[in-house]
Amino acid sequence: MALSFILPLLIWSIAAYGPWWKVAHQVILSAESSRLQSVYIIGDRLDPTTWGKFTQAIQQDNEEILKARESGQPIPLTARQNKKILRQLHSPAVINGWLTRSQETDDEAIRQVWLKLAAGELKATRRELSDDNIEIIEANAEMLKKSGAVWPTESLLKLLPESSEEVSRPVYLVPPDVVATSFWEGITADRPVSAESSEQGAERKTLLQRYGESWRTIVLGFLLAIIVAVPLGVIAGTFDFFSKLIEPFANFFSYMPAPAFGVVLMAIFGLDLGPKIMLVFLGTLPCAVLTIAKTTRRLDGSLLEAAQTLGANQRQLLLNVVVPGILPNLYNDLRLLFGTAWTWLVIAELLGFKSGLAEVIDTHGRRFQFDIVYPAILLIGLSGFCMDQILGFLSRFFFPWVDQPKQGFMGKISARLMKGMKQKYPGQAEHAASPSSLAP
Amino acid sequence: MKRKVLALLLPFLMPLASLSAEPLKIGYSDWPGWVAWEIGIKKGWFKEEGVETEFVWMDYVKSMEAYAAGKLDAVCVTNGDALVTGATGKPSVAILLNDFSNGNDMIVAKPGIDSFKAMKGKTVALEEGFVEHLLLLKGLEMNGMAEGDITIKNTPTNNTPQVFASGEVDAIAAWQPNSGQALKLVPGSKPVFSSKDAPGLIYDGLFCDMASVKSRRPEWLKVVKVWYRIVAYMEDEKNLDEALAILAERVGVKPAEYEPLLEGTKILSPAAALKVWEKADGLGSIYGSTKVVDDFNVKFGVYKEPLDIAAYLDPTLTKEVLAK
Repeated sequence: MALSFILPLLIWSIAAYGPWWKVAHQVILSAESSRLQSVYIIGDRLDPTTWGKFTQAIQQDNEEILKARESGQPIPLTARQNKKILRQLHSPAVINGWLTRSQETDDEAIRQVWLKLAAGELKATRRELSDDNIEIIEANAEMLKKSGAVWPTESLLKLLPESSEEVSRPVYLVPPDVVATSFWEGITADRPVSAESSEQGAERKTLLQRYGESWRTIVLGFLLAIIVAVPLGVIAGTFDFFSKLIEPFANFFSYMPAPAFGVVLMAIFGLDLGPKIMLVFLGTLPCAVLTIAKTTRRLDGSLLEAAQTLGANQRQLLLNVVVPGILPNLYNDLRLLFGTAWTWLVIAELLGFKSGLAEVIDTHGRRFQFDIVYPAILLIGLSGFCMDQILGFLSRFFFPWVDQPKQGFMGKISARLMKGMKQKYPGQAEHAASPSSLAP
Repeated sequence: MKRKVLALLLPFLMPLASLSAEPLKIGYSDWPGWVAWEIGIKKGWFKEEGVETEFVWMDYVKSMEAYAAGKLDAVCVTNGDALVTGATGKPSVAILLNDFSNGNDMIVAKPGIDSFKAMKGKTVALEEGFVEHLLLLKGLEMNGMAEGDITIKNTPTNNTPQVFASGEVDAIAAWQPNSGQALKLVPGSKPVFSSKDAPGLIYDGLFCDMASVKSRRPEWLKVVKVWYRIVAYMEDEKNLDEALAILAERVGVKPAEYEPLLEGTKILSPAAALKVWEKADGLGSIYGSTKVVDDFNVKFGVYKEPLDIAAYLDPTLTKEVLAK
């Protein structure tokens, strides 16, 4: 069992860490220019050509500023635009401990950093600046000093962009360690992730809160579906008349994809939790009815005959023979159906107000932030898988009389536990092994 | 015991009791002119003015669907899409105009396509029947091209950056911040046509349920009032950093990335808004613009019959607020 997980992980790692990816530039010091159509921010990853154009554009800007200054007609610039040029130093200043993260728009503090850097009072220890940029800082400090307390009205020089070299994997190929870290940060964060990353939404929620929302949707939808499906399925499986009444339509309905009803559900149930639950419900219901009916039909006919011989009426037949008789198989059915219910979750949560894990997957997927998307997908997968394992494990306690193939990791554990239980409470298993204790 | 049961039931009964004072439900989406509402929301100005509102953040087309389904009292849409929603779903009436698009709606083409004319025979991903479709048709018209010259792939606007990055299409039509993302994702791509080439074609407004405007007019007046507080706030350069932080967070980009978007969405100042509300032909008036769009929609079969434009526009609320 472990191998079946290790192999894909291995393939993933080889793909991500292999030597075949080219180098890209990750921006660590940015600049803005009207020559460029995009604003590049710190953390953006650029291919070498774009990076070349980017740096070139800034250099051209600076040359123009200097030329204009020499000719005695400096390029005018508003105080705000000059402030924005100075703000680019914020990130290195934070890394070097000169400013705090929240001082991004504290222009006076940023200005002081420029002046002190030029005067040699500050020394970059953790993030050094290029020689060219040191020169620019000195030149700008000169201008800042000249204009005194007010902001200069002629254009300051722009810092040249700097980058760190990164491996240029395709954006969707996030290496396992990044996903693992992001996953861990996501589930351990007690306050909303990502004042840093660009979390969407007025009310920010942690990954776990969203996870809770997803659980609420799926559990409510699934419960609703089985509350309806179990009685329907059982009578359809027991009585021929109901079988003909219910099953053909359920069969027909199961072919109509539930998401197709999304807009209708929104129109009926509003935008909040309603349509989401109903989508899970609609997706699960027909399949559940059919499966349960089939399971019921598989019940050993001799049990029914025996009961009828003993004089059970239809009600007793249903409640005292059929239901207890199919219980273990029904349990397994529900376990499988719960698995399929998860598949509806993502579509359901995008109806109306987006919620839960699907919102994370959707919004961050759009921004190509796959390091946040993958943990959310993983969480869904893990939940479904663990839930199934746990339910499978529990079934041994609920229905110990049923022969279950003992295999796999959880199987072994449960077998061992069962053994221990039997030793502790001898007789309990035998006692439970008489489900259809008919007392006519 | 009885009391206990009642106490348990109370939270469930509460919504029923407060049904009469339901907040105004307004759907808004990622267009910069509507994201601006976020300032009023975050600063609590709706409460200050004494109006209960619930702003619902949605995808653009989904917000129109929700409105048509009667789940929203108002929705933020373009004048053209209000007509489309009206013809196919549920009519609405504009009580205020936020802005006109001044470049933020654009057609972005992949490297190698340098002009709109070079788009002949290419494929464009856009949301069919809605505002970007209109923009493309306008581009075709202005360049003397026919509708069949370009193949359209129907794609939700929010997904256009990814579709563009995949290289499956030659161009996309989208508004900011989606179009900006597309430009960034595909190095060398450039806009070949934008709403700046046809300013006034796309007005963005708050389109409300007609019955609601009638029955709850005082509340809607307060909403309009808050909007002009937002406009005044944004006009002041001092507030720009705070405003950008609010706006950028809503759409999930950095403030520095958001700042250029302000240029492409011309928020209407009170004076400009009053001028736009004047009845006139041409794109300088909301009446003229909407007429043009209506003709377009009929011509290209978005819907069959021309609509009664005047019913979609109600300048009285804006005029009443701004007259004070």
